[in-house]
Amino acid sequence: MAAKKQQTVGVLPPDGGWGWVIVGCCFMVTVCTRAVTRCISIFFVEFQAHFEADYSSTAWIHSLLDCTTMLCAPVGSLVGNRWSCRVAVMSGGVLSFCGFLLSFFSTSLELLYFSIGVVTGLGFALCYTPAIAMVGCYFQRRKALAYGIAMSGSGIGTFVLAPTVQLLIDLYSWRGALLVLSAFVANLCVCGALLRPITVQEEEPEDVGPETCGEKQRGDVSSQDTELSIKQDRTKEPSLLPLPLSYGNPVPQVKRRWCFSSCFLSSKEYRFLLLPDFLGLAVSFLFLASGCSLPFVYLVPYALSAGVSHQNAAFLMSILGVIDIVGNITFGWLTDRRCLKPHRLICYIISVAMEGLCCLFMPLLTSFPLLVPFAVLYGYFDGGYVALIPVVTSDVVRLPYLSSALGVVFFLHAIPYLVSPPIGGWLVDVTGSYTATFFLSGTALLASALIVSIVAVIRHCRRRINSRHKPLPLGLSDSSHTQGVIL
Amino acid sequence: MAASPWEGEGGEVRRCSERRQKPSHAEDRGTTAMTSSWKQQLVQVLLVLVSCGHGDTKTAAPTPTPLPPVTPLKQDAKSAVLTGKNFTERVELSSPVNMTLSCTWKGDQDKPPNITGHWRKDGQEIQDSRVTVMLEDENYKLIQVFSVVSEKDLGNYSCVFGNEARIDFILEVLQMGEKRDKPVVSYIRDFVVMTCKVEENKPIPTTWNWYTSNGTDKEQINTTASKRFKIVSEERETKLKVKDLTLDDAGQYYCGAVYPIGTSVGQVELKVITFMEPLKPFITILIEVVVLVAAILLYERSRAKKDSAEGTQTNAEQNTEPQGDDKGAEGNDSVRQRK
Repeated sequence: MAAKKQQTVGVLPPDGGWGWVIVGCCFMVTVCTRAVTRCISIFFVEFQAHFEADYSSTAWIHSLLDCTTMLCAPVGSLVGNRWSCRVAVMSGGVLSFCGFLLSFFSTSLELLYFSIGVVTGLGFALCYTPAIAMVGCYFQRRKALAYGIAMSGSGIGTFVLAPTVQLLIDLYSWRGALLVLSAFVANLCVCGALLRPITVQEEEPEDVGPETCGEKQRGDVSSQDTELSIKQDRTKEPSLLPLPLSYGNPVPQVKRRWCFSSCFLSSKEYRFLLLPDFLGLAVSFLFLASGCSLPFVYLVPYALSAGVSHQNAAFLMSILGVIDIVGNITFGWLTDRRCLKPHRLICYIISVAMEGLCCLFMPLLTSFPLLVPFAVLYGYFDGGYVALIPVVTSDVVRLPYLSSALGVVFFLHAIPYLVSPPIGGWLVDVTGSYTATFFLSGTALLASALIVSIVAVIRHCRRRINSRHKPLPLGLSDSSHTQGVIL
Repeated sequence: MAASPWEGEGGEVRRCSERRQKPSHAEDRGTTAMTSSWKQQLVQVLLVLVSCGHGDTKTAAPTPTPLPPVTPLKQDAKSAVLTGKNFTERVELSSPVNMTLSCTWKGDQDKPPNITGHWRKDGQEIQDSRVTVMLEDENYKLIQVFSVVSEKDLGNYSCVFGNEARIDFILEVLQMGEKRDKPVVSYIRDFVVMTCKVEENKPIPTTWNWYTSNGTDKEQINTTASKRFKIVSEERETKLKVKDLTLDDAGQYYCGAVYPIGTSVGQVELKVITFMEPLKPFITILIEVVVLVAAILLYERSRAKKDSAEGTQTNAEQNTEPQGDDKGAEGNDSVRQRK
């Protein structure tokens, strides 16, 4: 078997080295895309004054930008798969730079909708998904921590960019601030240049059979892939939840997927869409996105209506932002621990469910000392689940499909992000209080957690059924494993 | 009836009739009623006595003419309690009002039974305002009504107890909220919109004016004279739109909310800059981006060339040996030896 392969075409995920550079790049990409999107709302007052528009017309800019970034996420993953992540992110950087530059010259609100909303949104979409998928390629063992650090860019970026943007507006007015911001997002090209493509060996458990011996052991990769240029201590590696389904490919063949340097585009790219697990996950993401954006939008108005002062309400948002960052990194680090790694899906379910419970209890909290623990808890679990989304996705679909899967996942976030804040606002107007909005948010989050837990239970049961039917090839896997180590 | 008991009062009755015209009729009736019944006379005399009685007490001081009724003038009252030596209270007004200012002072350690107090306006003592204040319930009280009709009636009204204890009431026009302390920045040949707002719970101004500073004076902006300026005023808000900006347009602009009592002035500073200003950080960051991208791409290309060179070398090595990879630093010989 070993003699057949003359070339070591794939490496194992380095889990370090250049991987940390990639994490840094993804961090910068998140700063330049998500944080800049959040900071656009600082321009609203200026736009309202200059173009003599009202709040809702200017708020459309932010919604358009957010929506386009998410809607065009599959385009980003497509470009990343077709050419390379590097090309995708660099072209995204150029496009968003052009978008902000165009907005510098704009003379009307409609032109701003186009330049910031559409052009920059498309640019951001081209950058976001490939960068995140790239981190998944470079990390295996410390994936959650890497994602945690990378995703914390939105929180830290908002924290740093918000006063900077305000300063730029004070110095140069909104036009000059947009010009400087365009140069800032041009840094996406730098991040893109650093995304060195890597070809990773596909880890397909179907060579070992749909079940593995014992649940903890993961007979990693196929027993045939033995000549490895980089060896890692495989016995230490805890298992991921193994996929009991096959993709319909002929099983004994070892497929080599080139991560982001394939030159053919086939329907195989989107085969994961038919996986029932992924479908269940997709539906849960729909509910998640509907529920999670509402508290961010309505926390401050609710606090103000409950009698909290303006200063304290702004402080609540800051607490939320900072704890979000903490949640990102600590959740990532925690779920990388050996004891928690196999239960990553459960950790994800717990964090989403906790968020939903917090939202349900929200109407009972009517003063600042009561709202602070809410902000802390909600922020922490929000950071947690954001760090875990790419991890959970990569657990359900295989590594080569990660980019396309992430594209679809973010695409599913788009419409709820766009639609749920106005629906929440309509509920507030109709009922006269924020209770209904927070109930909606809490129920959506709990529904999402429920769906994912159903998926997890079904997988668990199916695995148990499969393991009961087929005998465990215990000796075979052990010997092949040792063979691999020797060679 | 010459022997009537009212004769003694005949003189008074006559005095009454000198002043008033109406009672003379009663008095005529009184005198001619000598022939009518004694009950009628009694009633009439009683009437006259009552009217004369009123008149008697009033002869001491002249009757003050009643104030002409000024229907638009509202009544308002402000009071303050002084515990230390000084206290200041700001009062914002928008329309003419009869302002009753009352000061209460707790007094010193030694509380004399009476003390002189007077009123001051803008530091100058108001004439005839010195009164003696009695100590009531451990407090001294000074109350005075001021009629505030126009802008010159506004100012600093102080009530002074003795010589030191003073409460200041600063009567001024409604101040505009939301003072913008940072200048409005705009570009040459661009347009700018400057806004002034009055808060929700404050009264609506009668009209709005905009002024530009001309040296030390304020010159009102005339929108018909210069086409570049456009003023749009709503009830609580006014906007000044200046088109086609030049560097000379920079400076202070004042918005005036005209109230019946005076004008409340807000200030907005305009700064006009050229496109060069934001271009400097823009170019700096762009240069940094281009340099970094070029450096990284060159490095990657050189690394890729090195890798492919090594790759062909290792391929060659692999083709010559049957199997195995080691820590490949060792040459072919060592591998062959191992096999």
